[in-house]
Amino acid sequence: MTVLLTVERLSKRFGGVEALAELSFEVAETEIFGIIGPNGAGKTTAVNVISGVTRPSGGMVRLAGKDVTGLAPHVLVENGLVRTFQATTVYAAQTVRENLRRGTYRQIYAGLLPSLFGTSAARAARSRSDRYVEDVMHWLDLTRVADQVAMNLPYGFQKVLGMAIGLAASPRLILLDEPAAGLSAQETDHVRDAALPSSSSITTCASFRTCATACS
Amino acid sequence: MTRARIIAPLCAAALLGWPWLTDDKFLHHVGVLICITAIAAASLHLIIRTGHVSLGHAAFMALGAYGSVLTVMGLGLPWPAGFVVGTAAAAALAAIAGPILLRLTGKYFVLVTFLFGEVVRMAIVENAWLTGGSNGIFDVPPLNPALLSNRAYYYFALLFAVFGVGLCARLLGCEYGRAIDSIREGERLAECSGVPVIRVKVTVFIIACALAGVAGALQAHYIRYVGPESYSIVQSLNLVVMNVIGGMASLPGALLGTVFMVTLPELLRGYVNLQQVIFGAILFATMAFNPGGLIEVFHRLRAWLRAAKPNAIGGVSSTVRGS
Repeated sequence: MTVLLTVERLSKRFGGVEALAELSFEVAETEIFGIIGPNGAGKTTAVNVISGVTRPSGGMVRLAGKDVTGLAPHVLVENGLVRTFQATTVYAAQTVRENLRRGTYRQIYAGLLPSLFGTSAARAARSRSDRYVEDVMHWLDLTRVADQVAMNLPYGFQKVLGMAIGLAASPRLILLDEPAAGLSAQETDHVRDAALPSSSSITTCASFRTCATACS
Repeated sequence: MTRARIIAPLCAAALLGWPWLTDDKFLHHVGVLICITAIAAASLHLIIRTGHVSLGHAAFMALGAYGSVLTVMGLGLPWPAGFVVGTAAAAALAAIAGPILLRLTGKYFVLVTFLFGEVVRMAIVENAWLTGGSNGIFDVPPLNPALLSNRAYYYFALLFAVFGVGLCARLLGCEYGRAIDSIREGERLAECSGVPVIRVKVTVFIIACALAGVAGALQAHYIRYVGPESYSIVQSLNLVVMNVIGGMASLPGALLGTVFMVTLPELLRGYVNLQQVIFGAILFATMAFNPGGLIEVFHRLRAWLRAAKPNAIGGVSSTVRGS
């Protein structure tokens, strides 16, 4: 299998605290890779640094052979690397469908002027992404809540929705930051099944059971 | 769809027709002010939709006004050139200041844009050789002798208002608007869906400030005077209040706020002593009873009508709605 992501001697220091010390690993195409550790071990820091939310103090991240260390998150999304958040991060006041439409930005954005004038290319991109949104909802069992406002959904659904927004960007690699934190065993299974169909993913968890069942 | 087809021509007819119902020049004057201010308020609304409340928007109106007046009076060029120069000056300043200002968030952005507006005003006051200083520039020539009457200028300003507000509406309604709303509601999440946050904010800021420049130029050639006090913090604050009182998250709200904020002080002219007090009281009451803005009154009215409908026409209502 070809290597998709290479992390080499990645370090992150906050003042005197060394949150990440020379982390190195590789993730292959279609592999599900787990990072496990207790609270404070630096799992979220690893996700933040790899996804470009914070800059590393040292080391290198390569995506499909290309050096992407320290690039901004939206540039990484263009390259197919998408992350989710540990806390439920969704557009709370919007419906599930609208949340996902916003997640498809990478596919629908045709530029300011085509979008402003509604050119046929822009409209084609719109309908393509609308179809994709329906697919993602069907896939993650969100179709029946499609028109509900996100903040009215139970916590587990919001968690899945957060992940669905990430998947809506059709990533090559998705970083899931503690997708199962705070969920019941049943909800954890729902989240785990949601993670599986994506091409490759890195998931962080604090519990061994989740990690063991989710990872390849 | 069918409802829009009925409402749009009605609105157009009302906007085009009302000046002929009255010969009152004062009412025509209020109409002109509403058109000009609507462009400024709608353009500020664009910036607010990205999650930033700018207290320096009047500074960009000033650039449009001075840019246009100086081009026409100083260089002797025709007014379209003046409008282009004024708009370009406002856009250029936005392109320079935007990338710095828009990296600030919340109260810091508010404070720094306030200072920015004051710096622009002071620059106008201090460079009297060019701008006439505190006295401003008098006797700005009319754009065209045909535009000397308030009624004629109303149609001229209306044309710009329809174009300017239409541009804002289209921008917010297309995919770009979805990105704008994503940024306001969840900046980090939007960025992690691939939205280039700073680039979108700067682009919107430049478009909005260019529109403010158009409003400034329109105003200068209408009042036929430019002075620094017309573009002080008071004007910037007024534009913010129009957006707040109308409803922060909707463009129709901003327009409603504009009509309210321009008309009310003019209607209270008769009570000179109490004008500010009454104005303040009405403003206060409006905000206290409609925390979601004036647009909320319409939403409530619609909900009330909808609730009343089945009683009025009984069981037929469902078929009516289906048609």
